[in-house]
Amino acid sequence: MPRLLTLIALVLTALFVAAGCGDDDDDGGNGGGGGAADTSADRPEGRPYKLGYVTDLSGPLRESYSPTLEGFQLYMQQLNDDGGIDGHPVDVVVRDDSLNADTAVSASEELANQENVSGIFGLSLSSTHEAVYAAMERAQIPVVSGFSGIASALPPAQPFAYSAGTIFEVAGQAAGRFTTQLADEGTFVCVTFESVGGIAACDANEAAAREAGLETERVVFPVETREFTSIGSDIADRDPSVVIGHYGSEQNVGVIAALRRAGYEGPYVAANYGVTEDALRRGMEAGGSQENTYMFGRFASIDDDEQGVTQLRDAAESFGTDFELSNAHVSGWGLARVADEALTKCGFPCSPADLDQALQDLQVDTQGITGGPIAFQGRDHYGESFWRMHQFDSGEDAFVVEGDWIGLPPRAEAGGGGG
Amino acid sequence: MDELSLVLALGSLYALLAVGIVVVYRTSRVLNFAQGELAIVGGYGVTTAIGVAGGSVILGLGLMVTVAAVLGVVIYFVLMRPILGEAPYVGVLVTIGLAIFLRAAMVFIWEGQIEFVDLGETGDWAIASGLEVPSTNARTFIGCTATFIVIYLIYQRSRLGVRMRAVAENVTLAAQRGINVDVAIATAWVVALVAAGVAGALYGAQALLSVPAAVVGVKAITAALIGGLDSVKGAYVGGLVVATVEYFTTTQISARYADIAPILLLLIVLTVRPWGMFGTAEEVERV
Repeated sequence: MPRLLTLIALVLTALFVAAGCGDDDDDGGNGGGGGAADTSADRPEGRPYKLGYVTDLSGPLRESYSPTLEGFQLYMQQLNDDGGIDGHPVDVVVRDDSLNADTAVSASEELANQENVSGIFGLSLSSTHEAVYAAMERAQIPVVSGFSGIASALPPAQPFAYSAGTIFEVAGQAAGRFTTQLADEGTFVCVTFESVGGIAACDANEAAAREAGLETERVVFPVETREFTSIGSDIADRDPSVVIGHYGSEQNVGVIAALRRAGYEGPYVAANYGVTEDALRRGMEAGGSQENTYMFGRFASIDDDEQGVTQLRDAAESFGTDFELSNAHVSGWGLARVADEALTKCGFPCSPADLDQALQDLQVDTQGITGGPIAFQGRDHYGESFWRMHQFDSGEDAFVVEGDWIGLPPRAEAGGGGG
Repeated sequence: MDELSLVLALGSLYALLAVGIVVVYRTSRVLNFAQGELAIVGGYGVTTAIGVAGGSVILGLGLMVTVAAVLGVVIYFVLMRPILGEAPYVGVLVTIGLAIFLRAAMVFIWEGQIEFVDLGETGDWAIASGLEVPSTNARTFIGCTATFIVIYLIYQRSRLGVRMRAVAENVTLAAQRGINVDVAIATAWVVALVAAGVAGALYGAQALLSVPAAVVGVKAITAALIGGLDSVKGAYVGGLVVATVEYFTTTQISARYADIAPILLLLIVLTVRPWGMFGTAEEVERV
């Protein structure tokens, strides 16, 4: 019996260790998963603003979402180092949703009710968003999602629901434009996993491709899929003119490798939803080809030279990072700029209602990391968005800009377009 | 030919993982739910081992197999031996705990990064005049099948295998006949870990390594159950069946259902033949 008890204790220890691995990152500051804690002697002495951040730090899309959080934290560390907002530092309380909607809701409720945050930022897979937006609407806490928002923020936006990143219906529309830049005939294959956003992106992407005269086919796989050789072989057999993948880093690595190994040599475009440049490089390396690989997104690449990207790289050098710098960090940096501007406009103290008021009429200069300002106006909580494509250049070992930013007007102005 | 080589590669890989489950189950009545995690740890381990071995794939694999064998002994004596004689579910719970522990270990040690195992070229291999197959598929099939055959021969033909099978039949009687039960069951765990390690290394070259990739263990369990939980050769057939169903579901129906289709087949097999394709009815009664 004592042996059995020892064993049970061992199993419980293992469970505890595993749970700790995906532990909530409640540092009350700006450190944690994004690198060093804020130990700066320059930290402002005023009472802090408090923001919540919910995302997947231990689930299947950890690789995609953690760097975004790191970008957000780097911005806040730099901000605090520079004196905060009128002498008030910004504290970020982080919670891990493990890509589970119930966990995301309970974490958000805890942040709202116990941590008394002014607003919640980040979020993970689109399938978790609707529940969080609904719960936070009841709690009257504004939520600003990162790179994978759903249509709740489009006009007429749901109260308290904002997105400063990618809304998949809009991203799909942009993807359609890039699809037709790369191919004007043949078959376009849209690949995604089972998620609200992925399906929405493919719907919009295919609609634009069909309008341009392309045949469209779709491949959808479960979020848990990690072995892509059969999928790669299946897509290669369809002999497509262009393939676009709407999913995270890990899926891109696997699909690129499987596609190239299966003999597909045509253009592959990674929709940039937290897909790191490093992940794409690994996929190309494993697939044995660096040719014809593209990515597109709302944010600049970490390889670009825009002012905001340079600031991010400087902050990363000062504070350190756990993850290879990528465009996912850029998107987190952009989200943090929105938080900074909204809190500045809100003043101190900033209640959730005041932050919501500030967000409703906000224009943020992103210093070049997007093609134009991120702007919210009244019931439009997304605004005009700008998209750009990059192609991998093996000579420069970097993703280089392919064409100009494409502007997609706010949905209301576009007459309900956008997918 | 590409399609066939892919099915054979994945099938042999699932089979190698499944045979580890079968051997452990036969000798100790423990259904090992940690086989997928052990495989991915093996894959990560081989990337580290190749680095330690100065980039030599052969030395790296050898190092990984050695470490896997030692860990097999450790797992038996630390985790499994204390629960000998306990109800079968206790062993299952321990392997679930082990799986959770290994997932945490992968994050701590390898930071949960996406990795590929570089075992050499990724082009095509000419296997006959005008006949080429992707080298990754060929390497996986040859590596997994060769390891499987070695395990099969040890289990079916060697004196050690006879002792393991004797323990599987009746532990008490085997002990009374002078068979060292600890050695027999520890060997089963060594076999399971070496199989997992080799499969993990080849999986890492075929697909990709990540913490969630441990879900491959579900396919191994499905293959073991389809083939028959007490049948070594059934594990190979089960692996091929799972890979075939998975591949044809992906290409002919939808990748959406590729993971669920083998499980549906398992339900059908278990309904018609609860002991699996090559298993024995007696085993079901024992459980």
